[in-house]
Amino acid sequence: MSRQTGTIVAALVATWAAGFTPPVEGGDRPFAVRAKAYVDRDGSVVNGATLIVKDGKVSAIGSDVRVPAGCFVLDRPDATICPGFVDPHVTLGAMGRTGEAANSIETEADAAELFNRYHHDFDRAVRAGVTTVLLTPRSSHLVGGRTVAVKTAGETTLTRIVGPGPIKLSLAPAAFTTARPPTSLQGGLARLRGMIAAARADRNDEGAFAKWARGEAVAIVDTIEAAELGSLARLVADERVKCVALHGNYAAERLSDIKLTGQPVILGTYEFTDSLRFTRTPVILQREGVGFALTSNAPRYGPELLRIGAAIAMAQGLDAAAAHAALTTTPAEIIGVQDRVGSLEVGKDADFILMDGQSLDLTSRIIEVFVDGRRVYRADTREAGGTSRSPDGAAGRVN
Amino acid sequence: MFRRVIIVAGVALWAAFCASSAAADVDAARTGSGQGADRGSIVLKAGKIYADPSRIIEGGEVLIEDGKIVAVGKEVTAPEGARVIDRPNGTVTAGLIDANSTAGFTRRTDRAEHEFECIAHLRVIDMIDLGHRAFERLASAGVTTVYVSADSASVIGAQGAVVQTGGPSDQRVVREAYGVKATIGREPIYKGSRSRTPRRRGTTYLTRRPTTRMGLVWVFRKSFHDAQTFARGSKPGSRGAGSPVDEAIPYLQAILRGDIPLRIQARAQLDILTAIRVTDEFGIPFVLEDATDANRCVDELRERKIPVIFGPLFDYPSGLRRGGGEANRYRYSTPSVLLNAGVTMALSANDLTGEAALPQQAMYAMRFGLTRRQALAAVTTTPAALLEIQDIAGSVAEGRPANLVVWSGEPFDVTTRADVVVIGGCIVKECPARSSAAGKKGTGGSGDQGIEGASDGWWKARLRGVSGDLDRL
Amino acid sequence: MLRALWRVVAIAAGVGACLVGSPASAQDAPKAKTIMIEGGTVLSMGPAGVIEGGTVSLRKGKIKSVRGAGRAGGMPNPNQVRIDASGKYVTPGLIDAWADLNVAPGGNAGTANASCRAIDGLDMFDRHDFEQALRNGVTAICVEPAATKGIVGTAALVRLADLDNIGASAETDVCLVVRLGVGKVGPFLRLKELAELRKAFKEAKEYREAWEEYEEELEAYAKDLKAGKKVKLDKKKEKAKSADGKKGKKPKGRKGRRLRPRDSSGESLMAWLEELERGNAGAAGPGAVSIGETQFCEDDEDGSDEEHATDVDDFDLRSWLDVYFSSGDGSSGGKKKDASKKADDEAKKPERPKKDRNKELLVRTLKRELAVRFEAHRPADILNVLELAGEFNLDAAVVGASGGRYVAEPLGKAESTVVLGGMIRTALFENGHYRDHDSVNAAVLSQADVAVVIGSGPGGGGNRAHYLRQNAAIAVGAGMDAEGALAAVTINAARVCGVAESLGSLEPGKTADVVVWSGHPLSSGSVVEYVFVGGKEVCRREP
Repeated sequence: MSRQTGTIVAALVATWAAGFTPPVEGGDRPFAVRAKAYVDRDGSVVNGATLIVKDGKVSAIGSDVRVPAGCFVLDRPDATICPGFVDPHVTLGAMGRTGEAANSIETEADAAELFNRYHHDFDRAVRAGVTTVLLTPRSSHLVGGRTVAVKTAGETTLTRIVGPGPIKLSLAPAAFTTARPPTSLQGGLARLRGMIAAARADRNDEGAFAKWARGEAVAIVDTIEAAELGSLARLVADERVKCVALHGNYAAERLSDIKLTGQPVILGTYEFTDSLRFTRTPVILQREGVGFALTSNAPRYGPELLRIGAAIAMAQGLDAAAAHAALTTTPAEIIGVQDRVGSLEVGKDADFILMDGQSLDLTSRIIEVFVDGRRVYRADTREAGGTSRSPDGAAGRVN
Repeated sequence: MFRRVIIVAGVALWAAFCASSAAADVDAARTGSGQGADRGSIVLKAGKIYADPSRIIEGGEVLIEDGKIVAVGKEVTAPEGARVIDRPNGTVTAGLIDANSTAGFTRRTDRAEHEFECIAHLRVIDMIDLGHRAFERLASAGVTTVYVSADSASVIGAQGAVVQTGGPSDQRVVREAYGVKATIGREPIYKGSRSRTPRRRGTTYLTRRPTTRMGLVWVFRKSFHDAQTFARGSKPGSRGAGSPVDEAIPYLQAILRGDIPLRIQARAQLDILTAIRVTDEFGIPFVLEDATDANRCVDELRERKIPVIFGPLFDYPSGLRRGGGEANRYRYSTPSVLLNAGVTMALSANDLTGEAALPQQAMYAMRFGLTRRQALAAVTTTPAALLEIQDIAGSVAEGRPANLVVWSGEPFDVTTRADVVVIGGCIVKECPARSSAAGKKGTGGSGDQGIEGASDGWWKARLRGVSGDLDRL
Repeated sequence: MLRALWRVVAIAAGVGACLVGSPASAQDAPKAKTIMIEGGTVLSMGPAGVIEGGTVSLRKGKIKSVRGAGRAGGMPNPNQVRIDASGKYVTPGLIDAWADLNVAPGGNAGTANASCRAIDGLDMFDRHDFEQALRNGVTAICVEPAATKGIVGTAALVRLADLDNIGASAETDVCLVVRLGVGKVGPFLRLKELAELRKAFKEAKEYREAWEEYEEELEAYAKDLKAGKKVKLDKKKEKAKSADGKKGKKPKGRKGRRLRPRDSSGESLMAWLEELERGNAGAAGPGAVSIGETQFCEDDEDGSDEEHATDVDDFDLRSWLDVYFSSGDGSSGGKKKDASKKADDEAKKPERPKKDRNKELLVRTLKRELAVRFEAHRPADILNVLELAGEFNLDAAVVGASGGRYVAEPLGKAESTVVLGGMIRTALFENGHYRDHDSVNAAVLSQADVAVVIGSGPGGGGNRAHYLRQNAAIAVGAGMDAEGALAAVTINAARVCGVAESLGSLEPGKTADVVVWSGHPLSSGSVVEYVFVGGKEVCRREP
């Protein structure tokens, strides 16, 4: 008994010593984070950061913010506060289950039904600093259905859902097979045109597709090959709808098409094996004034590839501010949650990462991750991760 | 010894010249992809201008301003700062027009919609890639305007499109939808078979009907029959598998009214005659595409005044032409036979691009009997008239969009290439003049050295061109 | 003569004209000049450590000096090209110790193809990838053969000195590459692979012993001859020789001969033996025999050992020599035994073992003249590799080691070197050998005192050499210290490639492969400002 108590006391002391205190975990009481710097909305680094979190929201942030008396303070003198990353295209927790095979057109499908908050994919995303993601249906459907923006950590399913996202379309080759109609891009576009006309005729239709058809919302459209960007541009020009090209690999080579859509592009996934032809796209788009977001397409690829993708783009000459925007504000705007996430501003969700260096340097470690003002991840304080820091529970598996 | 120095220096210069011309090719390819280029005033001077096949101006000039041809004549008044391209040995023609092309199709699998037999309501423009390399290759060969024809997998296919092969991106599409293509022959049967018997799945609701020429003609006939019946205000007796979908019916009716021109691809004599027979039933005029065996139906074609878009001429049929057995009786002389019989004929290279495109087709046709003027008409004015774009393309005249080619010599000669290609006022290709001083010096003494130096220059320039291209991206 | 000179000049002019506008044209700095890179933070990776505001001077392709600040000002020297690197970082050129850049993928060559060479499969004319690597600060690349199973051949170190002639600056046989359990290999097959490897090394060991024994015996034999022991000479043959073939009986084993090159080791000995045979017991030792004229020895074409076996009685040295130079497959063994039984007082001629090029190469590894790198990923495989390396006393490094963190301790104890590959764990469903991969490996291993090298492997056709520094950065992000990660792509990489005397750090006398970065090389935002290879500027930041 006494031994047990001793252990508990020791544990408490240890956690206190490490700055690990319940109020932060609880998230109800306001607390402050003092750090070396924070990354502003425009990607600039502001030295001397004080962030005050109240009710899971940012109540104040800046270099000269006064911490109210009695407020718990988390001191991280070496850390940089960075807003949590936003990934506009993932299938976390639902890999391979985001498409109904029978039909190519699934207007009423909703990715929210697939949201499995217990899935370990989300933990991996948290560790990569990704706090908000858009769950999207597969590219194998002309109309894949509605997407949903969710937080990668949180208490309940409901609180984790940020809101419905744009409808997902696909013009990619995967959407057209001879097993079901339409079997071709031209047939697909004719279908879409017909559906748009029908949706416009029916004013009472409040479905996501109808809203998009009436120009009230954007759609995320899979365009993997160059030809599809042209088709997308034509659809936008003819029907005056808003479309965001996803996987716009050829965006740099089809600039006029991309500019015609008038929307940012979602690029990626970039990894080290990718050809320069594609990885130079961000630099060219930045030069041409076209906005873009990056995606990791997790879990097909690791969520870490979001930050690595930014580093790859920077290796081709992209500047840090644009890379920062591509991971935070631009994707938040695309999925329509820019008033809640994407940057650390008063009133927005307190989703942030503490890093031990520049947020876009791959050398920086993610030390802590907060979602809605709760700490959801904390790196092992030991220098090297060690086997105890077990990604995916793989540690200890020796064969 | 001094002579040798001169020779070697010449080699060096030539190498440099080749390098620069390779770079120019790369540039041409860039602008050809349609990002828009500067469209200042250009003056083209050439030894001869083929304004149209019947009007030749010796030693003429063309002034291009703001994408249009402003003046054509012996001498034009060039504005300040106009770019002058002077090719005393060259000739100018209007940009060539291919009235039956497949450029821009990128995928092999879904060029046609396999859901229906009759897809006249669909549009090819929705799926072609205007940035496709085939367009660049066509542009560099001197073909400036093409009709992208629907795929032959459908009995009654989609509506084609008239597009420019390069130039300002906002002017690439001349006609979004023009004409509907039907196919009579084995290709719909061949290509449809993929969806007819899905592997290991047995027959599905997508099973396509025509498996014979008879079935195919039935679908054709039934489609127009239903459209006609609807047009009369009544309903057809049955709407079975061969019937067109509702969406297609207005387009079929437009074809019957003559609002949308019908084009029929038929190669074998049997198919050409079938096409004539079934269209006679409905009284639909049409344009014959491909028409390999047209020389065997000259009388029928002339009697009914059916224009022919003939081609390509080939050494040996390839692809489906070969497998289908429809193109085994080709004749190089067919173009001249048709023209001499009084049939309206345009030449087409169909899926052939680059050097094998229209210039070569015209060259073959000339070798087998066409005069240069006839050949020129067959690749400019005739296809323009068939596509109803004769007032904007096909000849060099004031007020038209500037689609021009400067050839290095007489057009369609074996040694002639397209030196300068202008589309919509943009120079999409410009090769340095061949008779430049550097080139002549280089070949002055020993030809071998010249060639060696040149090939080395080419090789290096190519390597650099590729990486330089990436740099510029 | 003058004419030839002119031609050279003119051709140079031509090439120059072709080069106009290329990135390479910026390298016009005269070679004789000293290049001074001044004011930058020098990460020397050598004994000089980190020097703030240091100066690195390059001369004649070598690093002349690496020193601290202080000598900045001074008179402008026309023999110096001064590069202001203030605020920038200066490092040695990065070395990608594990790549398959531009190596044509090949099938499995089997387990015993040590003599395959990566350099032979390298597409040297695909400049683009090399250029990209250079532009990202990588100046040397170690390429491996692409096969995935067993002993796959030797790796090559390619220095990107002259992209037009990559082969000229390549070291061909850097190390022997062995793969164990690479690909989707089940446990039994992996054990089998291991057994085959062990067998191959064991056979090489036996081969080496056989040759050593042979050489000893040969020497002993020579000594015997010298001491006057009789080799029974064939009288008949002598007669036949002297009678100029009158009796028509040719000496045995002499029909159907062909010339073939002698192996150098046996040659001088043989010449000496011949001397001895002629009764010249006082002949000088093998070293002194002139071998200039006897470039070839005769060899049996039809392997007519049987014939030798028949006339045991009329033994002569000639026929013995023939036996030694023929295949030596033991068919004459019985006879020989008879011979030895027959006369103890007669000198005994040893039998020459068969030459085997693959085994020769393995013997070089056994002698530690050639390093071996084992690609192994599963922890169990790595342990097996350690055991194998210990058993045969190999100069071994482990490559890949995606499960290396689990066996960090034994790896550290064995003081081994580990070459880690690309740090991205791409797909969720990595399977096969790569399933244990994690970027934490680098940190865990370096803490366990393993010499960690970071490369861009494994193969698969991807061109990743130009992202080498990002790989190192990811390792730092996973807990490695920055200095160690930088060493992992410079000096440690040079060591594992066996070129640490000339590359891998900024030290006077080493080859001048130097990179100037706009910021810390591991930071995402930094770009390459200058790259010098062999003291020549090959790349400069595009404005």
